Parts: sequence; C-alpha cells; structure tokens
Amino acid sequence: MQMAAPFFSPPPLCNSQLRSETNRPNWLISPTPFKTSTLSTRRLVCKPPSGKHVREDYLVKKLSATEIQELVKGERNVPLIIDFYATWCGPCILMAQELEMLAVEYESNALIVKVDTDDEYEFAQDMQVRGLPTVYFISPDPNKDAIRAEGLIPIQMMRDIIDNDM
Amino acid sequence: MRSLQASTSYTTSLSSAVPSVANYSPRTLHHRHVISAKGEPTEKSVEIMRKFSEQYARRSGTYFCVDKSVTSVVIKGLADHKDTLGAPLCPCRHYDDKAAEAVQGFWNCPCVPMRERKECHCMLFLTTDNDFAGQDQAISLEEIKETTAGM
Repeated sequence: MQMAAPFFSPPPLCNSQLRSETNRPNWLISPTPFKTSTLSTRRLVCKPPSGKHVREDYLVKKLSATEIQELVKGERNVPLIIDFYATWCGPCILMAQELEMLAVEYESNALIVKVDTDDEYEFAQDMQVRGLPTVYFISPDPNKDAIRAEGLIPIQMMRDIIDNDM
Repeated sequence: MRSLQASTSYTTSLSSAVPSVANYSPRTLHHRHVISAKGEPTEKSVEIMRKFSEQYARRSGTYFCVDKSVTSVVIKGLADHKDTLGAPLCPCRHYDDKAAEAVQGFWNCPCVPMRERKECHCMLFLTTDNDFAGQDQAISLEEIKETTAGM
C-alpha cells in the first residue's frame, strides 16, 4: 500500500497513482475520491471526533450573583459547584482546569459555574470567601449541608465529594 | 488609581451576616469605593515584582511552581495591586476593604504566614517538599508575558 508522504498538498501525479493502485480504503485518504483538479480538498488522517466536546468557549460558565441565587433557590436534581476566583490568582488557574475536566466527565450530572470575586464583591463577602480559590459544593437535597473547600484541592477529592456527599 | 463606584442594591443577607453593617450609613453602603484588580499591570511594576519574587525565593530557599503560568499570574497580580493600592497585596484572597488591608500589611507580600511558616497559598514560593515545586528560582519577563498572553 503506497503511503502518501505530504498529507496536505500532494502533487497531482501521486493522486492518480494512488487511486489506481489501492482497491481497499487507504487509512490516509478519506472515503471520497481525491480530486486531482482541486488541491484545496481536505485529506482526513482519521475519523474526526463527534464534536461532543469541541467548543470554542469553556464548559464552566461565569455567572452573576443574581443568576447563582436563582440556581440555588430553583429546582435542581444535580449538585451545584460554585468556584469563586479572581483574575490574578494563580491557583485559581489550576482549579479552573480541574473543574473543566470535571465538567467534561460529569456532563449534565453536575452543574459547575464560576464567580469572579472582583465583579461580585458583595456576594463573595456574604459567602464568607477569604482565600482563593474557594469552591462550594451544594447538594440538590436541601436537607444536606453545603461543603466548602478553600485553596487548590486534588481532582479526586472533588470527585469523591460529588459522588459521596451530594 | 482606578476605582469603581459600587451602587448595587444587594442587601438581602448583609444585615444578618455582617455585624458592623449598622455602623454604615446608607450613603456609605451605596457609594463605597471598590478597587478592582481587573486591568493589566504596568510593565514597571511587573518587573519590580518579578525581581522581588526571584530574590525572595533565593533568600527563603523556596522554588517556583512547575507550571510557570501560576507564578506569572501571581506576579502580575502583585504588580496590579502595587499599581492600584501602592502595596503588593496578596492576589489570592478576597478582602472586605483592600485599601485598609494594604495599609494594615498582614497580607502584603511577603505575607505574615509566608514570613513565619513559609506558607504561600498563592503557590508563588514553594518549599521543596511541595509536589508542585519546580527547580527554578528565576523567571524572565518574556516567560511572564508568554504564559499570561491572552488573559
């Protein structure tokens, strides 16, 4: 089986050779025949992902104090995780990465949101936020207490809280 | 110095949570100056805090994080507070009154927990037993700019 060396701009000569020699589908080439006339047609190296998690923006959304309060008061059947952060807080970056991973893992089984404490100053004050990042885990069950974690915590600890304590 | 007039009417749980709210006149509550650390710090302040961080890491025997973006973000946060407040207040905390805290000094970098116990929750100065501690006690201005580009 002939391997095409340059993936994205093969010379026309190679294409005709490839088409005539390969009867089986070549994993380098997409199922549709490669047009020699148009070099702009993309060659697919592999099957593209389904697009489930390919987004331009982040999964963890930034919300205002009013929106958070509506979420807390409203009907919910999944845990709510609130991340209080600040623009120039270093560990908040690592926490945000962990929470993005959790958002991908849990999908719609957990609702993860973030609050900029510089924007929502009074809300952060009322929630007794001191060290950053501070994460609140709020169960859908109103009888259960909320869990609050200050500082960077390992992702496994967060999984345990969501799975066992919510 | 940038400051924002906070004219929010958010008062639902203030009376129960904050015992000193009775001392505030309504005028104070509605027109409190809120100093926000949202803009880009000046290059001069970033350079000052960069040099300070390198010197203090050497002096205290601590190291920067393996992930230099954490170090860069904290240095920029310190620089931003130095620009807005006149002192490098710790950027990894939320304060009731930033200006008062900057004057008081407990959380001015290097903060008291760092000076006394080498505890830096910003992950700027890490002791060798910390899993996140790297090998470096130096960081260049280019590295800071690269790792915080787009923030």
